[in-house]
This record gives sequence, structure tokens and C-alpha cells, in this order.
Amino acid sequence: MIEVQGLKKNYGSFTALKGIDFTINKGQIVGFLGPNGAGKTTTMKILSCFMYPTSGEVKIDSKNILSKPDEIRRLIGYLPEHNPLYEEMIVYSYLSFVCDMRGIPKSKKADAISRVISITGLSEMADKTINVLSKGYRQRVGLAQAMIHDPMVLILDEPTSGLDPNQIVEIRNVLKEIGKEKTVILSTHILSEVEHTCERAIIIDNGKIVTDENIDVLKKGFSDTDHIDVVIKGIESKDYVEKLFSNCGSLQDIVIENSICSFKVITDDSSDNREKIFGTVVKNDLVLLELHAKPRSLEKLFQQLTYEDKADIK
Amino acid sequence: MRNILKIVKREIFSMITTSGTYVVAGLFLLLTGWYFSSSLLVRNRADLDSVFSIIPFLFMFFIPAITMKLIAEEKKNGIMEQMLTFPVSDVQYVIGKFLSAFIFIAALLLFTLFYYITIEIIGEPDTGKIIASYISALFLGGALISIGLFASSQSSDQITSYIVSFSIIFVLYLADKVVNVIPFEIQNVVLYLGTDTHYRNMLRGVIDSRDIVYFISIILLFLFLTARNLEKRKW
Repeated sequence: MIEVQGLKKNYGSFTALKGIDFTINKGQIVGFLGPNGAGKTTTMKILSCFMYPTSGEVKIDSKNILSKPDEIRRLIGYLPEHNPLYEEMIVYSYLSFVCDMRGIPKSKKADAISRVISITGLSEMADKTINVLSKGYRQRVGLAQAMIHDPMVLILDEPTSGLDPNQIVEIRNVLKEIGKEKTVILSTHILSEVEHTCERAIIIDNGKIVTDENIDVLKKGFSDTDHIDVVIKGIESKDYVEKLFSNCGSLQDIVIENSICSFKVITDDSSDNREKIFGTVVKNDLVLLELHAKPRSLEKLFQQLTYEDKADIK
Repeated sequence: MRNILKIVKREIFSMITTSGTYVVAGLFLLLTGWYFSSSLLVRNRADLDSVFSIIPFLFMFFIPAITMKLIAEEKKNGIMEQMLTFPVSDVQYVIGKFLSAFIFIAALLLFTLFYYITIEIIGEPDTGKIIASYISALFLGGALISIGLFASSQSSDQITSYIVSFSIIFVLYLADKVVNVIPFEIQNVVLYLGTDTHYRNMLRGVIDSRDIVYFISIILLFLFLTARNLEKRKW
């Protein structure tokens, strides 16, 4: 559906994209992740034919964006960053205007509008002026606008920014529903977003792809133990704890208060040492209050990937 | 063509709902009305010469005010990004913007027909000359809108775009007034480039193809430059 090869983009002397390759199949929901300024928005602007790449090839539905931008524009629905709307218009007439611009015939207009209004839950707001709407509702108008011509590909630049948690869940469900048949690409810098909505994550940093994996694979690969939280009763000195658990890994954040000692155990090979810890506790007649293995989160992965990348450059 | 009409329709709607439009229209009619009535009542003349002689001056201030936001604002708030990812070409977008401002100017001039009706009732005006005057005002308006649109596409700041378009319009307006102080060899060129030279030619009641060619070239040149400015974003 979408094929991107060696995509590069320069803004003057600044290089925003340094060669990006990926392929997205039909019916996939793909999350574009990356810190600010990583090149997410630039990639989306190129996919939506708003701007052209400096070099590289982009094909959507096997049509090249350079030779057939008009046909591609018909295939995609695009929600730009910051969700720009004609503020002074009424929601319904704005959507009707978008229908006109999208070339939807008059006979199908009413159907198209009522379809997106019901998907995005805008029915109560349809007769309100856009500038009185809350941010969440404006975001829905933006989404409705992007889906109105039933596009094959939806490109959404930060679709859930500025929404409250309930609205985020609703929009997620909407996206999942759409993603069953359509290809959806969304960008975000919120990780849980990708975890919940997308099947696949492309993490970009500094204009390059650092990871392109299915979410499940990503999660599995990084579900190893990050550290183990331990709380033990009956210990008076730090040295004693360190000596006792030296064979389980390195200890950190040791706090002793009223003979209750809490600390973290970090192992080099991310192995689960809970059994060892438990054994040590029992052997020394201590009381174990808490023992908890913390898995490495996607957040950590993200930090690692984007941080290591920067270290490489330096 | 359909895309252009849809853009024009939306743009006109937006003008109707903006208070600034009424301020511009009100001031325009107030000032032309003042010139019309003073010529009619004080000098007792049944013509619109005084109205049409003030129009280039009013256009110089008002047209940049109308055009400044047309592209600059959409550039700034991102709507341009939205519009240009619809199946709409840059040229259609520019022409849509141009036509909507042109329709607004034409509507303003339409209101001044009241002046003509007044003198038609109480006197015997030279109708042919007045028709020529309207045509020349429309051409002048078109040229200045095109310049204003170009300025609006130059930056995403409305004030900058006002100043740029005002400056270009002002220089072109001055051309035939400073012609005496410039070297003889280039006098004709400067005279030809001035908007007022052609405007006044047409006001006399003579529709000369050279004047029409001049105005149409200005309109096309600046529309072309505007479209090129938009094209730049792609690379």
C-alpha cells in the first residue's frame, strides 16, 4: 500500500530526514514514534503530498507521489498537526465544504457527512460554530474531515494531542474500527498511544528509523526484568544488606528505617533473581515484606533507542 | 473550475461573517460618497469624475487590507496545508482567492451605482464615459488584488504582507507623478509601468487595448508569482 525508499528531506542546510525506508500493507495501523523534531511531521507532510522529498521514492497504491500527486490526494485523508480548521464556520457546513473540495457528488454528501458525524460522535455539535468547540471536539471535526471521503489511507499527525483520557479512549476505538479495513498511520510521542492502538511501531529519531517492529515483538523483547524491588524487615546496617545479597546483583537506593530496609536489585543480564533473593532471606531468618520484579517498559526502550542514537552521532 | 467556485463560495461566506469587511466597505462608501456629494452639491456637476479620481488612492489602502490575510493567515494557522492536500491544485487555490477578493471589490463598486442613478435622475451624465470608468476601476482593482495576493503569499505575517503590497502599489502609483525628475531615456518605460497612467487613460472614456494588456499582464504576472511562492513549499 505504502512504499517508502531512501526518503530524504532537507530544509535549506538542515537535514530533517536522512534516508527512511518502510513498507506498510493494507489494513495496518502503524504508529510513528519519536521525540520532538525527529522527522515524524515531515514524513507525514511528504506522504500527504503537501511537500516533495529531496530524494527518495514514495509510492502509495503503487503510484509515485511525484508523478501522480492528484490521484494520491484522493486516496488519503490527512489530519495535519495542530488540526487547522476554518474557525468561523459551522461544523456541518465545514464538513460540507470538505465534501465539495473532495469532489463528493451532491447526492452522496448528506450520507457522507452523517456517517462521519456518527463515527466521531459529533451529532450534538453539528450546528455549532467551530471556534466555540472544545479542543476534543475540534479534534473530532479534524478526524471527521479526514475520513469524509472514505479514504484508503488515513494519515493522522498527533490525532490525540490535547484530548482528555476519556476522549483518547474513544478516539482510539474509532481508529481501531477504521483500521480494520483501512491503512492508518498516526504519529505521536505518547508511547501508550502506540501500545494500545497500533499493530506496528516505527520509531524514528534524528531523521532515521531506529526500530520498525510489531508491537507484540517489541513488548516481548523488552519484557525482561529491569529491576526487582525488595522490602525486608530486620536489618540494621547497609553493609550487612550489601554483603547478604551480593550474589543476586548490584543493589541500589538502599533505605533503612526502623529496621525495615527497601532496595532495588539490578542484574546485568536482566535475569529474574527473585528465587535467589527469597532463599537468602529465608536462610538468614529475615522477614520478606515485598518482592516485585519490574519489567522494562516501552518507555525505557524508547529512551534507550533514541538516546543511543544520539550517542552514536557524538 | 468547480474547485475554484467552491473556494470562492467559502471565501465570500467568510467575508460576510467578518466584521472587518463591513468596516472596509463602510469607509469606502463614506469616502466616495463624500467626494460624490461635494462635487454634485458644491460644484453642481453631474458626473462621477471626482469619485473615480479618488478610487486609486482608496484602493491603495483598502486592497492590501483585504488581501493581506487571504494567504498569509492560512499559511500561519496551517489551513493552507489542509487545503493543498485536498485534490486542489495550487493554481486553483490562488485563482479562487483572487476571484473572491475581486468579487468583493466589484460589489463595492456596485454600491457606487447609486451615485450614477442619482445623477441620471437629476442630470444628464455621460453614460459611456462612466461605463469606461467602471471598467478601468475593475481592471485597476484586479491588478492591485493580484499584487496584494503575491505579498500575502510572501510571508505568514499579515502586517508584513500589508506593508509589502502597499509599497509595491504605492511605487506603481507614483510612477507617472515622478516622471519629470527621472532621466529622459527611461521616462517612457516608467510611465508605462505606472498604474495611474493607464487608469487615467481609460477614465477619459477611451478603452485602449494597450491599457487592457497592461492590467491583464500585471494580474497574470503577480498571480504567477503567487503560485510560484506556494510551489516553493514543496522543495
